[in-house]
Amino acid sequence: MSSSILRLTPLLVVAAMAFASSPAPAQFTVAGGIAAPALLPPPIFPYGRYGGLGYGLGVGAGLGYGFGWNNWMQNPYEGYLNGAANVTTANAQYQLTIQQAKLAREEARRSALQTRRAALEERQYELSLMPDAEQLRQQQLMKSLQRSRNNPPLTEIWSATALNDLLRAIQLAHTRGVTGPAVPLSTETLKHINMTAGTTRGGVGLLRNDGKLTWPYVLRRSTFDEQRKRMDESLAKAVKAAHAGPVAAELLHDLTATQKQLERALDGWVADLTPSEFIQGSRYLRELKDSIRLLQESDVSRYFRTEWTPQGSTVAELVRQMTRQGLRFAPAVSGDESYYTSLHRSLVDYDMGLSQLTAMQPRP
Amino acid sequence: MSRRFQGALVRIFATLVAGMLAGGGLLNAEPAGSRPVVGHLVSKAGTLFAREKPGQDWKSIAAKGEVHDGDLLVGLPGAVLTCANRAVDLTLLTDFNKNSPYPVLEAAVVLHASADHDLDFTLDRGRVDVINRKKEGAARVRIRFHDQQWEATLAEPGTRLALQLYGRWAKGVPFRKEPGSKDVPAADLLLVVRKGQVELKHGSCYCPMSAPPGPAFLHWDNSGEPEEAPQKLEKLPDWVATEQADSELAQRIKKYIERFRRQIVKSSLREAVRAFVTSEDPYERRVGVITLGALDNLEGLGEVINGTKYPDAWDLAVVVTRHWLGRCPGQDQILYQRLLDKRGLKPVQAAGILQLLHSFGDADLAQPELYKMLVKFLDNDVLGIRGLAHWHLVRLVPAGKKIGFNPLDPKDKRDKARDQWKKLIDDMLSKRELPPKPSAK
Repeated sequence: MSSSILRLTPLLVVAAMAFASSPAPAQFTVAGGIAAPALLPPPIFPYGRYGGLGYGLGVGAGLGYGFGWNNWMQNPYEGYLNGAANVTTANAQYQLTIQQAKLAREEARRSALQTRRAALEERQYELSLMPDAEQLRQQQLMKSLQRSRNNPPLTEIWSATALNDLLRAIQLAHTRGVTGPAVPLSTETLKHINMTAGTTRGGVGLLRNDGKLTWPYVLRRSTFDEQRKRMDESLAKAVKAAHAGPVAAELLHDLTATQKQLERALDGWVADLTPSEFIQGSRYLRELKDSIRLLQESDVSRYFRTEWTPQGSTVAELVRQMTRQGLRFAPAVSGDESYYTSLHRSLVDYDMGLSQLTAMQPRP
Repeated sequence: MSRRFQGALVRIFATLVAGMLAGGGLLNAEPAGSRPVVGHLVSKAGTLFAREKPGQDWKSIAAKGEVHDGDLLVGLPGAVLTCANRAVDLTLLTDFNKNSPYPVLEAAVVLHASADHDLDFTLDRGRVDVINRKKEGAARVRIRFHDQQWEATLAEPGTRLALQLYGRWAKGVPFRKEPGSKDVPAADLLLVVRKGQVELKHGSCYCPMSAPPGPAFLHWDNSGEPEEAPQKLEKLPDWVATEQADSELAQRIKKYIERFRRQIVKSSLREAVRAFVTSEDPYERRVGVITLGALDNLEGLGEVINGTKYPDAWDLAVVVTRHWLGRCPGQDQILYQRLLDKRGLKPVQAAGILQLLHSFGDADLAQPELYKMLVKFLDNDVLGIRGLAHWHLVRLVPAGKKIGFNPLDPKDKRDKARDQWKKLIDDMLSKRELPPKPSAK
């Protein structure tokens, strides 16, 4: 028997090597009495000597692999097998570690992607609340409207800023088909309201009454007699011409020159004027300059037509007229301030009525 | 004892008595005449000045000196008076920490004789405290100011009441040569119960008040609106406890006030003011210029405006003059007349100065012409006008501070600075940085 075993030794070694190179089932690595599945192939080396023992016996004895119920000594083949099993165990452990590492890396990559997506979503979320330029403009308009509704400084009424804010709001409501209450306007008030198409800062203003100027006290002094007289004459002619069409260039040049002479004369008298007198005179001359600039427009005649002068007996009618003609309010000229304050009150009343009606409208 | 020896003794005794009286300051006091004594100075000599009528010289009250019925009394901060029966103390204070609602500069009162009150006084302006100094029982005080007469009962010893009266021309109210009945400066009175309980009666109102936490605060103004009820305070406002002010600024102010007091005692009120107004030390100048206004010394203020070499003194003289104008109606008319009579200005120049001493309203500030006018006025021959124009410009357009226009400089130097101002204002107007957008009310 021993000679036959010796002859088989090389074959056994090869078999052991082949066995060792194949992946080991988990049960081989487990010690301590865990039962090996019965479906596993039997060991390639038949344990004929221990016939009937095999795995079943080892497990049945509760000792596990390699620890039989009897302390037998390992022969060389058993040592090979044991070593091969250990190698297999190490190999399996290595593979498991690699797989776990791969899983961990994959998990990390997914996490990074999620983080990036979350960051992008967060940015989108931020942007969703951030108004764009148009939204900002609308917000600004709304803020300005609120200010114009709620007791704005008088200077904003007289500069027509507050009136134009309210005008825009009313026009918007009209386009939605909402008409407010009948807020009456007096003809006298409308006579003192200036309108512009936006091409000039001021409106007809001082050119009303056929260009007959109402000079302030400070400019009625004899010092200014000459220039004042020339301005009165030239302006009357220019306004008359403006009703029909463009004003002659020579006349406009004369008006501009006279206005500048008045400015210089007023500056020359500054030492003999109180601050309020100087401001009053300067302001009037500035308004005169704006009016002369309006006369320089080629289609100046439209400013004197009925449709370009404030019309209507109610706020709604006035706004409709302005909407039709594409007009807005121009700043008040000296002496018209109180009429602007009165019109502002009427516009606020109408706007409040509109707001109430809009709130009562059923929502679609 | 020979008659000669007796005569010598009498003379020595008389000299001693006179010396003692002089040391006590009693000989310096205003002869009583028919006016009863209504109080005494408690604080040191040189802290209180009295004047019987407008136009008369101010007299410094000596330590423990008498105070007479009807005298206008102006005190340095910290001056303490007591009424004739010593039941109530009156302390004149100021805004040491610069944290008061109103920029009080000086305090002035008039004491009146009264059979029904322990203290009867008019608060002319500024900040005072009233304290019950009785050993026991309530003290009755009558407080007069403007057209008001209030009765306050300080319930127990130690009860303390703080009062502050301030007047000023409201923003945008112009100077008028012929003012109407409504052309008056705005006046505000603040009343705070600092300690104890006070029963206050004014008009038909009866207000029981008490120190914080309690209904301790009352505000009155001359707007004609119904008077407010006392408001509850949880604690005393910081500005009330002025005598406890210990900030660096407060300490410095106190130090200079004491230095000023010593100078008054050493020389005279007039000399001390003159020395302080022209001092090299800016704090001394400050004390001096404020005192000029407090003592109605318009000539002195005029001299500062026309002759000082210190821009800070010039600037402060303007502030003090504006305070002076706001005290009560008619002050601006007095100054206008003085500018005509004493300074020989033309009516337009005097009116120009008064207009610039009032403030500009929002409607004025929205006009580009206002800024142009101020620049043009930098060139005015009248120092007051060009200086006031600059005073407004640096406040309305702070960017121009660096230009460094000095109304006291020679003309060629001023012209250069004026040209820079003109360029700055023209640039700002063209860029629509001026006029500034007014704030909503």
